[in-house]
Parts: sequence; structure tokens; C-alpha cells
Amino acid sequence: MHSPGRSRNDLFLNEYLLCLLFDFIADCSFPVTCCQLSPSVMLCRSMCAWSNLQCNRPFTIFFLQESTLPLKDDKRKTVAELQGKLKQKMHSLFRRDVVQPNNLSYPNKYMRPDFDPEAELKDVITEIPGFLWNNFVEAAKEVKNNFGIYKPNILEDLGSLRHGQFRKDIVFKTPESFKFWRCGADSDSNEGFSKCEFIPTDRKTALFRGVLSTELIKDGRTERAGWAAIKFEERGPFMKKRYFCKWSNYSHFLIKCRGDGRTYKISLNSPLLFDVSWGDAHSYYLHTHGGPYWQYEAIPFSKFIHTVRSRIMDKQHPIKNINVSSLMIMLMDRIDGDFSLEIDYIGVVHDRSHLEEHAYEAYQLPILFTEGT
Amino acid sequence: MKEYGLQKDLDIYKSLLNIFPKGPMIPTNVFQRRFLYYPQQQICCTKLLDEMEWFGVQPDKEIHDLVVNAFGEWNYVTKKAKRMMYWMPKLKHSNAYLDRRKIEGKKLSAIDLGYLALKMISRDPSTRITLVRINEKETELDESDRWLLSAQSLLQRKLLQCLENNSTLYVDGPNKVYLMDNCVKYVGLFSDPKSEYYEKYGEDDMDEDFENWKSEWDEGYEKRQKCNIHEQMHETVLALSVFGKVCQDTAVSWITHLQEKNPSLRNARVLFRTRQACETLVTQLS
Repeated sequence: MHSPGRSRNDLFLNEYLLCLLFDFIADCSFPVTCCQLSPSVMLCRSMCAWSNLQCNRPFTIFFLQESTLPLKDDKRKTVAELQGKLKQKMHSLFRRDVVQPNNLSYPNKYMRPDFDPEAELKDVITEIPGFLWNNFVEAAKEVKNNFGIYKPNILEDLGSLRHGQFRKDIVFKTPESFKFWRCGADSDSNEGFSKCEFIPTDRKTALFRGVLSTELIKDGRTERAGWAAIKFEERGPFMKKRYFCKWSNYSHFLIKCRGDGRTYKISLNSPLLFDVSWGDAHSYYLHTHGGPYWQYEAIPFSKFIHTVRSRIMDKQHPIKNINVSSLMIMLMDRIDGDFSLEIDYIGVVHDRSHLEEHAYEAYQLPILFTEGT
Repeated sequence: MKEYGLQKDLDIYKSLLNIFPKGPMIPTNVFQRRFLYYPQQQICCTKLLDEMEWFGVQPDKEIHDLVVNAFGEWNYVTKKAKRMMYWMPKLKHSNAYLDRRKIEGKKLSAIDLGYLALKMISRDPSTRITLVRINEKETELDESDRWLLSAQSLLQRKLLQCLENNSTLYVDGPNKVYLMDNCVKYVGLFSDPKSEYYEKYGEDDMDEDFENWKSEWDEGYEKRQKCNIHEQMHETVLALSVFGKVCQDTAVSWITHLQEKNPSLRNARVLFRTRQACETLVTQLS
């Protein structure tokens, strides 16, 4: 996949180097036991705080996130550690439920109860060189790929697209294609009985299959059950997010799939820095017709509905593909039984005759009109 | 609701909404409107509307009026009713492959469901679906299982005619397809894939060598035959069917029925690859 624009990437790389330098000084030269905060330490911390606001975090935070992200192999902790961690529960001021630890610098992205933001300093020091070298190599490759002028790419970025022009961004021809895909159902967190798996086939396609069940677990807490999902979230060097910037000028979302007649949900997630926007997404149905024929489903980007945590918002706005960083295909159609969805590729296609910006009304309420809010 | 079988009945929801008293819970000033006036009643009503939404029951104006009479025009639960009135009818008919008006609220037999399933999965508009009754002498099936639906189009017949002699065909099945809540199993007749297959979005090479540019008419009037939709990448679809009961007798009857309009089918070898009790049964009919 192509990375975003050259200037943006150069800026990112420079900030990375600056953060690495200051962070190295802060971690190694000045221990935490020092009582007085020297001016250089304060300068380093302000630099780190400033880098956080720019969505660039120091590498120690990336390292900590890498050790907890389920993208890597997920080692289960012992029951004793889990119980010891769970005893220190935090109750919110107004709620009765337990609040999971959350922080802008150490985000508990998947709300796991065993999330551990602490790490041994010895482990950090021993694993820093390998982590740094590997990510520097990846960053160097990425920077090298950005140079060069290619006319079709420039025309594509400027928005001069031909009718029927398409691109396949997500294909499944190699086992590395499944590196950024995650698969989950409600039985994984003990909230239901649905199961799913996401496996490659021998025809170089991907197969998302399982069993959906809306039966509830009789624990008195679960009210709804029955979902299964796969999610694509690509990361570059230093766990940097990749955005679907190339999709901005295309008009239709394209997926070549072969389903079973069920209705799935395509969700393009666009989380930004602050946690109030982590649930932002644009969703639409993926209706499949089943049968042995492949289905080329082109969904207009104007039809995607603005949702926050799968709830449709009253104020609708069209999707901004430069903010979309992950893609989710979800099944929650409340029909018990097997499901099977075979995917060949996912991409975009352009239709010059599609001029619609947004398919839903975007009301402008009068000022101080409080009835509709 | 599901235990009594009333989860899709709109009148039950109206009766339950009618239980709320009319008048006392309508907010009369800004503070009552803001701070969730009568919270337990509003939460209860919201959960009832959630139940409607979960089971796909479409609200109508009377539901909205019942909520307005109980909680006022712009209360929290009234806004949820308004949102349901806006979004559920808008997204109801977004499925372009299946007309839900033919399935919703109707008691369809297996033949009707099979017909609708074949109509949905056959992507060729010229497909003809025929109902075949199996003769009593040929089989030991039950009375209710002596039927099959066959779907074949003109292009598929031409593909069958152009087959070489002694080529191998496969009857693969059963495969599942869902018509909303109903699951229908279909069987397909396939042959080996061809070297050129149908691809809707093909890779056209950006050729900037102007000397090799040619018009469509340079080759003369006769054009190369385009690949149709039945020539898929990994198999060629020759026919589709829904059986009353997926077994060999019905498959034999289906092949016999297809041979009436496709005489070249008699020269072919047909392999039945049916999944019975999670096993693959391979037999040969020649």
C-alpha cells in the first residue's frame, strides 16, 4: 500500500528522530529518582508532551503498546496476576460499573481488564536496540519508496480519474496479507456463543466463516448477543497508522466477495487523537446474494452512515477517507446459523456519473434550539 | 417476547406502550426536559423500542403518537421513536438482490423458498427456473420430497453444447443460502474452469506506445466472443438446482431432466460430490 504524501512523511520522520533523541536522553541519562527537575528534563518532557499532541508518541510508548497490542502473539497471563490486577478496581464518580484504566499516553484501546501499562526497565533497555533497528529499516524502505514521479499516481492524487478506474488495495495472495487482520466474536469475551475464524483458502482468497448465535449467557448482565467481526488495521514502522488517503477521490467502495445471502456490515473507522472520537465510523450494509457467482459490490461513499459505536448519529456528514485508518466487516443480522463470506479483494472504483455527495439529510438547527438536541 | 412468539407483532408493542399513563410525564419546563423527567419510565420505554428495533418491527405513526402522548413531543424517548421512524423505513429496502416483501409475514413452502433462492443466486437475467416432479417409479423418496427446481439460462445451454465429449461434470452440494431467516440448500452443476474467465473490473494495461493502437473495427466485423458471467475463475457454472431432498435419486432425476434440452449431456461423465453427514460421497454416473 502506498503511504501518504511525501511532505507529510518527511515531517513525520523528522519528528520521529527528534522524539527519539530527546526520549533517549530522558530515559537513560536522568533517572526518575532525581528529586529536582532539571531544566533539560523539563524540556524533554515538554517535547514529549508536544509530540503527543501531534499524534506522534515517543518510542517507549510504542514499545509498551506493542507489548500489549493483540496484533502480536497474545500471551495469556496467569490467573494470579489477573486477579491481583483486578483487585485494584476503580469506580467512577457517577457510575456503578468498573472503569478500565485509560489514558491519552497509554490508551487501553481494547478495554482489556488485564491491561498493564507498566513494564520492567530492564526489559525496555534490552529490547530497545532490536526494536529500533527493525523499525528504522522499515522506515528507510518506506522513505525510499516515496521518491520518484509517476504520472498516473500524480493524476490520481489530483483527482483526475477515469470512469471505471479502480484499485485493489487489500488482496490475500500471501500469508503476510493476514498480518493486519484481526478476528473476533462475542464468545471471545464471554458475552455470547458466536464463533468465527478468518482463514486463507487454496484459491488465494480469504474466508470469514463461523456460527452466529443470539443466545444470551445467563449472567444477568448481557442484554444482546450475536456478533462476529474481522478488522483490518495496518501499521507502518514505529506502529504508525496508515490512512486510506488514496481513496479520497474515488466514488465507490469495492469489494469482490462471495457470500451466503446474509447481510454484513462494512465499517470504516476514523478514530482521531481524543477518545471521544475513537468510536467514529461510517457504516453501510453489504448485502450478499449467495450462490457460486462472485459479487462485485460497489458501495457509494455517499451512502455510508455516520455512526459512533454502531449507533447512528443525528448529525450526518460524508466520510473523509483521509481520516479512515481501519476497516471492519461485521455480521450481526440476528439470524442464528452458519455464515460464510469469501473475499477476493477490497478496493475502490470511480464512477464519473456519481455526483451525489451525501445520501442523507444534514439538518441545520436554529441557534439555541434545544428541543432537538 | 420471543418465548411467546409475539416478537414480530406490532399490535403487542402498541398495547404495551398504551400502558403508560397519558399526561403526567410530559415535561412542562426546561429543567424537566433536560434532566430526564420520569427516568425509569423513559428507560423502560426506550428498552421496549429497542426490542422493536432488534426484531425488525417497523414502527408506524401510531407508535409515535403513543410515545408523544405519554412523554411529550421532544423527550428523550420520543426522539428515539423519531429516529426509528426516520432510519428504519429508509434502510428497509436497501437489499437489491432480495425483495423482502415476498418473504416477510408470509408462510412459504419449500418450493417457494427454493424458487426465490434460485432467483437470487442466479445472476443471469435469462435464467429459466422449472419445477420438476419426480416419477414415483424411479425413486423411494417421500411424497413431499419428490420435487426439484432447476435453473438454467441460454448461455449455460450453449456452454453445455460446446463441451467436448467425455468431459467431466460435477454436481456439488449442498451449499447454504439465507433468505432473511430461512436457510435454503442449493446444488450446482459445474465443469472445469476455462483459460479465460469473467472479471468485471479487469486490469487494462496503460499502453502509451501509440504505434500499437487499434480501433475496434480493425479486426473486422467478427469479434472475439466475450466471457460471460458463468465462466468463473475456478469453475464454470452450468446449472443450479434446489432439491426437495439432497440425495442421489434427486440428482439422477435432475440430470435426466437436463438431458431433455441438452442432448450433449449424455456424452459427459457426471460426478456427484454431495456432502451428506459431513462426508464427501463421490460416485460416477455414465
